[in-house]
Amino acid sequence: MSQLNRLTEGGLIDRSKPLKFTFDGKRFDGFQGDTLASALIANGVSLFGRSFKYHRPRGVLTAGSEEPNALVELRSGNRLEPNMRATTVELFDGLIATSQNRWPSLNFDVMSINSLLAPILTAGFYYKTFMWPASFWEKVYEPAIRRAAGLGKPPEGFDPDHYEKAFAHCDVLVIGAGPAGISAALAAGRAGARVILCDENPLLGGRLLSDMQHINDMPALEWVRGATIELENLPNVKIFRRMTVFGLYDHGVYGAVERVSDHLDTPPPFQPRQRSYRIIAKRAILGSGAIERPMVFGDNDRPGIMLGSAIRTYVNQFAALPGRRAVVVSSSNDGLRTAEALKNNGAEIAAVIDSRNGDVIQRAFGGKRVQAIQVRDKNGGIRMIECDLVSVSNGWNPSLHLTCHLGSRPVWEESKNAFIPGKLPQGLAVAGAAQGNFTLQEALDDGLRAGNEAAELVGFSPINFAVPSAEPDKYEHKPVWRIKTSKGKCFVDFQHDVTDLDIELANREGFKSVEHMKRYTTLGMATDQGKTANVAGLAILGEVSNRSISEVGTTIFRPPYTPVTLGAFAGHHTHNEFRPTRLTPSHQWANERGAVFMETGLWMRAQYFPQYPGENWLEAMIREVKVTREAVGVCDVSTLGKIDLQGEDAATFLDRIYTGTFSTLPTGRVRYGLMLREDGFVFDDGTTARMGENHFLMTTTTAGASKVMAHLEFCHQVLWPELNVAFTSVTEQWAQYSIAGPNARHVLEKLVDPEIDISNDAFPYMACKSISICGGIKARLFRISFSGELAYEIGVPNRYGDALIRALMKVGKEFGIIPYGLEALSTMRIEKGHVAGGELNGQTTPLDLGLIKMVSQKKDCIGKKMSERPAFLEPDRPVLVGFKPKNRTTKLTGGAHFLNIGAKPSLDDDQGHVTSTAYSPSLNSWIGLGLLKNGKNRMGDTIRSVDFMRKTDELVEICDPIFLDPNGERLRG
Amino acid sequence: MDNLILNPKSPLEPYLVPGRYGVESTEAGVSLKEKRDFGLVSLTVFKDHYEDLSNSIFNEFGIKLLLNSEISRSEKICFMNIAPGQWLAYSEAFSVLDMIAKLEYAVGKLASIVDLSDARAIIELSGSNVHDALAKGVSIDLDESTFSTKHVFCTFAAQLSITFWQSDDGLRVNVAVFRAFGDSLLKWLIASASEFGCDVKI
Amino acid sequence: MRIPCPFCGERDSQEYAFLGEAGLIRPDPTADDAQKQFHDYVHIRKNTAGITKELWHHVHGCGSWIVVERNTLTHELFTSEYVSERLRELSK
Repeated sequence: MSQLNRLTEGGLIDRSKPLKFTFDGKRFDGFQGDTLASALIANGVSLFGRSFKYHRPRGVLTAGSEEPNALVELRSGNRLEPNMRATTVELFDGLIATSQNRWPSLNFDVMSINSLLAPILTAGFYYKTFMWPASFWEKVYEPAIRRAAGLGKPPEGFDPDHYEKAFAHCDVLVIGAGPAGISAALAAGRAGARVILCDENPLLGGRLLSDMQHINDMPALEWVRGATIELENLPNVKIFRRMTVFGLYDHGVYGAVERVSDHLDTPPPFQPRQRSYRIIAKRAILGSGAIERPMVFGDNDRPGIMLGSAIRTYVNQFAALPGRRAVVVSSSNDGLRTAEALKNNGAEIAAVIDSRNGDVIQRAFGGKRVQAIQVRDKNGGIRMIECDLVSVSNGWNPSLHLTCHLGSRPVWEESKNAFIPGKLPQGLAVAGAAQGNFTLQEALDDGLRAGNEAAELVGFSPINFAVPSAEPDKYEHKPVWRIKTSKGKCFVDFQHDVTDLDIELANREGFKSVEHMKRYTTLGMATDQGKTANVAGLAILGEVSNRSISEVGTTIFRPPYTPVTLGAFAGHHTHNEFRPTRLTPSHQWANERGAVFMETGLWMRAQYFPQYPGENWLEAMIREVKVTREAVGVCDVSTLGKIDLQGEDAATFLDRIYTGTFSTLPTGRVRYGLMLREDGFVFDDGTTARMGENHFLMTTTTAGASKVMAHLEFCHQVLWPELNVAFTSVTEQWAQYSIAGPNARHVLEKLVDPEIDISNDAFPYMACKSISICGGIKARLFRISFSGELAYEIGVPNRYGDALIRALMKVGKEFGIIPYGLEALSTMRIEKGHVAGGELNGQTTPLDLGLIKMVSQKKDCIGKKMSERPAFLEPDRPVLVGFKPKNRTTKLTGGAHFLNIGAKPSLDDDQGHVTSTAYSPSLNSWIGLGLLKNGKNRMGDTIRSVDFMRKTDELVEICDPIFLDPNGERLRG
Repeated sequence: MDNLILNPKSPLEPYLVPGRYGVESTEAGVSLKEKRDFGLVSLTVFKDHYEDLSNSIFNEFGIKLLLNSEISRSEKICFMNIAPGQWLAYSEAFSVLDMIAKLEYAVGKLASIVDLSDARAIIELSGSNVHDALAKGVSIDLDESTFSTKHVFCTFAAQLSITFWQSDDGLRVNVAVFRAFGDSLLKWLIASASEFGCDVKI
Repeated sequence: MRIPCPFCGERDSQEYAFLGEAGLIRPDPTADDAQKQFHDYVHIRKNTAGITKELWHHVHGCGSWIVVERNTLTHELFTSEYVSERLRELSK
C-alpha cells in the first residue's frame, strides 16, 4: 500500500535505510536519499499546496531549488521553517512537514473562493482598491490583508540551534559540480591550484544524476564517482556539498551557505545548523547549469504537470514514478527523452506532442490532479487526451544569476533562444549550460578549458589530459512562449499567481518597460526570483508590445540566489553575543556588590548600587549623590578615552585641535579642552594634562574615544604630517577612579606613599602628577571634578584596577565612602551645569553652550572659522539654559520642547528643547538643562515644557545652568 | 597606610574557567591559555629619527627593526612592526619595569615609549585546528602556504580589533585584544573551537 | 569589497572607515574669503560617478590614512597609497 509509485529497482536512494515521515499529519514511508518531494511522489501524492493569491491546488513542478509551488512548513515548534521547497528538503527519519496557505485543510481550502474573485484580483489591484472609506484602512483592510498575505508562518520562540560564519580562501572557486564543474575542478586541481568545489546538492553530478548518459563509454555516474575520488584525494581541493553560493560580490568575494545539519533531525553536538561563508577566490568558474522552461497554456498549473527534466530526475535518481499515463509535450529534442524514461519504467505514453511541428497543448483539465489535456494540431483540429501526468519541456534558461549580481545585464542569444551572460565580473568565467552550451560534450569541454585557464592565471601550469568524451548530441529547440488560443488561466509566474493577462494589463496601463512590468505584476518577485517565469514573461510582454525579446531586455538578479536564513548571517553574534561586551576594571567587584548595570555603547557600566534589595534607581541615586556631596563617593571612570601624546610638536598639535591653548599649560597642570568638528559644531570635550615638556595625556568622552582617535590620526597624517608628534591610545592601560566629596583627600592620603604630598597647596585644583601608592605601585593623580565637589581621579595600571577599588572602599570606610554609578554621576554634573551627551549632540556650537570663553581668539583651530558663521551668531539661536519646574514636585521629561505660554504647538513657535533632566537631591526638585531661543535674556521667565507623546505640559522657570556652588568653592578646598 | 597590598589580576582571571569545551571524544583540536606574564610596549618613532632608532635598538637588544609588518626576534624580546613607524615590543623574559627602563635608556628621545602591558588580553592558541577555528572570524588567509610566521597582523575579527602573530616555529598563535574585550574574545574562540574540542588551560 | 592597504596588503572593507574625496586642501583661515573657502572645503564635493581618489582610514588595521583610486560605478580599484610622504618614508 505504501509507496505505490516507487519503482522496484534503480535510483540512487538507499533502500537499506527506510525512513518514516509525516505530511499534513499523515504518515508515509520513504528511503534515505529521497527528498520530501520524491518520497511523496513515490507515495502517489500530487497535491502539495495552495497558490498565493487564488489558492489553486498545486503540485510539484520541478526537482530542484527553482521550485515555485511545493512550499511547505518544515519541522515544528521553535525549529519551524516556512516556505521550504519540498524538492530540496532531504528526507530524514521522523521528518514533519505541513502544507501552507490553506485553511482548514489542503484538500478543502476556504480561500479558494478567491478564484471566483479573479477578475478583481488582477495585477496591481491593490493600487486601485482599499482606499475608501479612509477610516477602514487601519481597522479593516490592513488586518485582513495581513492575515491573507504571505505564504508560510514564522516560528514564535528562539531557535535552539546555533549557526556559524567563516571565511575561506582559494585560487579557483568552482560553483556547481555537474559535468562542467567537475571537469573544471579536475583541471585546476591537477594543475596544483587551491580549489574549492561546491554544489547545492548532497550528491555531485548535476544533470548526470538524472539523464542516463555515457562518458568515455561508461555510465556517466561512474565517471562522476571516479572524479570524486580523485578530487577528494587531492590535498589542494576541498569539496563542499549542500553548499549554495548565493552571491557574487566585489573583488572576488563570494557569499555561500553550507547546510551542515539541515538533513538531520538535530545537529550533532557542537555542530552548527548552517554555516555561512565569505569565500575570497582569485578566480571562479560558474558551472551552475540551466533551468528548464515550462509552457504557458490554459490551466497549466494543475498538479501533475511537471517539467520533463524533473520527471527524468524523479524516475532515474529517485525511482519514483510521478504518474502512470503521461502526455509528453516538448518544443525541444531533449524534452522528448522523457517519453523514453517513462516508458522504460512502466508508464504508459498516451501521446507525444512535438511543438516544433505546430501541435500545441491548449488547456489542462482536472482539479486536484490533471485528468486530461486538450491539444490543438497545426491544422486547428482539437482533441482531448486522458492522462494523469503531463511532461512539459520548452527549452532551457542558463542559471546566470550570479553574473548579474554586480549589475551586468544578460544578452539575448537568438541562436540558443536563451539569455546568456553579458559582460562578466572580474575573475569569473562561465562553463557549460550556464552560458548556453547545453550539450554534455560542451559542458566537459568548457569545464576543462575554464579550469586550465583559471589555473594558469593564478600561476600554475595546466596538466595535459584528454577531454572526456560523451555521446554526440545537438540541441534543437523552437520556443513556444504562450498558446494564444488557450482558455482558462495561463500562469507565467506560479508562485505569485501571475498570468499572461496580467502582463497584457500592465502593458495596456503603460507599464511597458520590463522593470515596470515586473513590479506592477509582481512577476519574478517571489522567493524563487521568477526562475521558471521571467523569460516567458518578458517574451509575452514583447509579443503584446510588438518588440523582440532583445528589445524588451530582462530584469536582473540580486543576492541571495535562494533564501538564506538570518541565523547564518548572524553566526555566533546573537543574544548577548550580538556585539562584544566591554567590561570595566571594577566590573567583577561591582557585580559582587549587586550593582545594576547599563549599556553605554559596548561598555557595561554600573548604573547604581542598590544598598538593599528593591532600592530603585531613583532612591539609590539620591542616596549616592547625598553621601558623595556630604562625605565621599567613588566611581569607575575608566571608560573615558585616554590618549598619550608625545613629541616636540605635541603642544602645537593640541593648540590646533582644541579651541583652547595647551602650549601655555605648565607641566603638572590639567586644562579643560573643547574640540570642534571642522564645520564648527562641538565634537567632543575632555581634560588634557601636561605630564612633561613634550608629554600630554588627553581624555575624551566615553562615546567619543575612538572618533577622537581617528580624528587625531586624520589631522596628523592628512593635514599636518610635518608635525613631530606621536599618539597612542591608553584607554585600556589605565584603570581610573573618581573620588569625590569633602573627604576625598582623606581617603587618598591613606593610599598614597608617604613621600607624596597632596595637600591643597602642593596639589591644587587642576594639578596632575605621577605618584606611587600602596608601597611603590605607580599611579597618576589628577585633581579634576565633574561632580563639583573636591575631587580627584586616580589612575593605576589596569592589572591593579580590581585591587584598587577594593582598597579604596576599605580605607574609605571610616570616611563614609560609598560607590556611585552613572545615575548619580549624571545628576551631579547636571547640578553643576556641565555639558555632556545631551548637549554635545553634534548640533551645538561653543557659543550655544556658553563656552565661548574656551575659544582662544589668538589662534586658529579645527572648526574655528566655521563656528563663526553668521547663522551661529543669530540672536534667537537656542542656547544653554537651566530650568526648574514651577511646582517642586513636578517631574521633568527629557526631550520635551519649550513653548511660550498660550502658543500653539507648531514648529514655528518651537522655542527649543530639553537636553538633560535629573532629580536634584541638593535642591529637592527636578532640574534640567536645555537649549532655549534667546535663552540668556530670559532668565527668570516662565515658559512651558511640553511632550505630547508622554502627555506632559508643565510650567518651568528659566535659570542659570549652574544650580549649585556657582563660584566653585567646593572644588578648591 | 598600613601594609595595603594591591594584587594584580590578569584580564581574563575573573572569567577564564579551565577545562575541556566542546567535543570530548577526540584529542583536543585547539588548546587555549591566557598569557599572564609579559611586557608589551608601543614604540612610535619621532620624526626623522628612524635611523637612530634602528641603530639604538640593535645596540641594546641585538635585533634589527624591520618594516612592512615584519617581526624581528631574539630569545628574550621581539619587535613587531604594526604600522609605519610603530612597533610593539613584546617580551616574556623581561619584567615590565625592566623593559621600559631598557627602552627608555636606549631610545628615550628617539621614540614615544608607551606601556601597554595592561592594555591587552593575550590568548595563546595551539593545536591542529587553530587555523580552522580562527578562520571563523579572521578574513586573512591562514593557509599554511601563505600564513607567515614573519609578520604581525592587525585586523577585525568577530567584531573585535585584534592583533595576532605566530611563534617562530608556527606552532602557536598569540591573539591580542583590548583588555576589556578579553571575555568576548574568549567566548568567541571557545565557541569556534568547540567542534574540534577545546582545552582551556590556566 | 577588498581594499589594498600599502602596509597590510589586501584586506576586507570591514577593517576600514571611509571618509570621502581625497586631495582637498584645508583653506588658509586668514584669507579674505576664508568663510566661503571653508564652507566649500567642508560641504562641497564633486561626487564623481566614475574614477575618483578617496580617503580611507585603515582603522582596524595599521591605522594608516590612504588614498584609494576607485571607480565608484564598478568598484574597480586602481591604486592605493599612503596619504602622506612621511608614511611612505617609514615603509621603504
